[in-house]
Amino acid sequence: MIKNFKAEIISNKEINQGIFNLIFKAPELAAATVPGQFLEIMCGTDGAGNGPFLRRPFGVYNTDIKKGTAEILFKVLGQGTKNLSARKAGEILDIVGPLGNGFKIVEANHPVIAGGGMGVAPLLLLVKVLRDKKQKPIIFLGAKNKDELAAVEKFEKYGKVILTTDDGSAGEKCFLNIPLEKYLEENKNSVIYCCGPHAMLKCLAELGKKYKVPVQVSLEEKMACGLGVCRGCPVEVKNKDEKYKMVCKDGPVFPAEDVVW
Amino acid sequence: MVKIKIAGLVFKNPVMSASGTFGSGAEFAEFFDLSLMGAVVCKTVTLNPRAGNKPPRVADVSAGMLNSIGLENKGVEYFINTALPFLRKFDTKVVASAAGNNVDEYIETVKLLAAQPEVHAIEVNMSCPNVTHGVNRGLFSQNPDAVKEIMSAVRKETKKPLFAKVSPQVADITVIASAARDAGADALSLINTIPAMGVDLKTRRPLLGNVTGGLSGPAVKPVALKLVWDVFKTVKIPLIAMGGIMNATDALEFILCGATAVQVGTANFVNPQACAEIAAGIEKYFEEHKLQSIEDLRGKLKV
Repeated sequence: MIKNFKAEIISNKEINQGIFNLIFKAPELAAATVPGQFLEIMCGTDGAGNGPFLRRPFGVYNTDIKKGTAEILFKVLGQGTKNLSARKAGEILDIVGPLGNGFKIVEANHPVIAGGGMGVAPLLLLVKVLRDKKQKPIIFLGAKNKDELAAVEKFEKYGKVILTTDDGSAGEKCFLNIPLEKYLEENKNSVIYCCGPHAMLKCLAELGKKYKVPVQVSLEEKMACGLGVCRGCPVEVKNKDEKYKMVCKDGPVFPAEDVVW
Repeated sequence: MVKIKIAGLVFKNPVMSASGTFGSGAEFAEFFDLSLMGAVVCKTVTLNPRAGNKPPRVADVSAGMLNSIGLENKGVEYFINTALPFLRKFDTKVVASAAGNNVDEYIETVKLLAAQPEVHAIEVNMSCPNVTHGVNRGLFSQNPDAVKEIMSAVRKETKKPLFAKVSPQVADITVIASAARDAGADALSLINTIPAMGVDLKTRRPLLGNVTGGLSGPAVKPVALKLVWDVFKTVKIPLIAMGGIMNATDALEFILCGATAVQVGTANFVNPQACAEIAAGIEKYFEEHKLQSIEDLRGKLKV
């Protein structure tokens, strides 16, 4: 059930340079969210009245049903995230969610998780759920450099983590598709769940085809309503009745083979 | 309740959704009871399905947004089969919105819509900035002759109230308003988005995939107020006003400038309860100021 609700901020910490982990009280949301769903959050204004007009979408990064909390992970990129980074414990957030369709969990002993840059955000909740289902995910995390590899230690709790960076400051110096392809060569009957830059997702979609492994991609697009009403966030799809699906309502997770890359 | 009447049709209050920002209401019914609205104005439909424009289709700009959706819709038939049965459940008026590539398509679409008992009125969208009608021909509603041709053609198809939705980007809005009225429009819906664009200096690309689109949100409100006021002063036709209405105060300002009803558009994307809150806010203002009917405020701007 989608709701528009107010949530008290419990903490908002900069965990890496420019990357924030915001935790807020939201018991209903924590209980209702499935991995891969997202929220539309009002980012507010700064002291000079600058702020985005529209809400901003954020993947749900983590939930704690017992504590009744939910979390987002974000990097300061524009005015919206800048304003959000300045919000403090005790302040109130205006949130719409949970939105969209998350990952469809399929049977696999060793599901592959791939997160590029801030694309790691919606994947933590996924690996937690996979572990609850006794699956043993293998997790590939890639970023430009060490500072942009966020939350590695959290992922390590739930499975084997393989790191790559563009500059070699952590893990192997390459894109994450290199070790991921090696893994696919040796392990059949897998599934890939991924989120990250478009080029990375496209590459993983091709790997999925090559090794006959289903790939679920979590996509991003500029968004207004988040509800499927404005028709503002299309992704071009193939073999469907319509040319476009909406990232917000039909996604954000899509089977890679449906997407026109 | 602040009831209003347009061409004999009674609306329980002056608040309607603006076409294209509300779908056919289903998504918003999760947030509030659509029966709290004067009318649900549905997203524009065309005779045949339209895929819409390539992304990005929306962009955030100062005090508003740009869009270039491109009238994406599954066609009038799909609308009749899916949206109308859903809307039957609510005690509100249903306004269908129609557009076409030419006069014949307008006629066909309006004819099909008017035949549905669930459709109480039809808004004729002649002003989507994301749809071109041929090179350098502009939007239908930028040309009084085109407005006259379309409105008089669809007028012949139905006795139900017809709203003419027009573009703000014209030299003299009163010429367009008169043309619509003379051709049989029962009300004028104004304004559609203002043709606009945005660019990203970093990437040196336009913000919209379609390069240009329409501006909406609080940024356009002063422009819309002026156009409503201009028409109110000179052309006798009921006005359904919109443009950056975010709250009841904004809505009441439009009524003060001559609007009989208001439409809430972009606000729905930011606040999904906007329509219900604005209807309640108008009601409260009328009670507090002991206003009996819309006519006690409409056009009562002190100048």
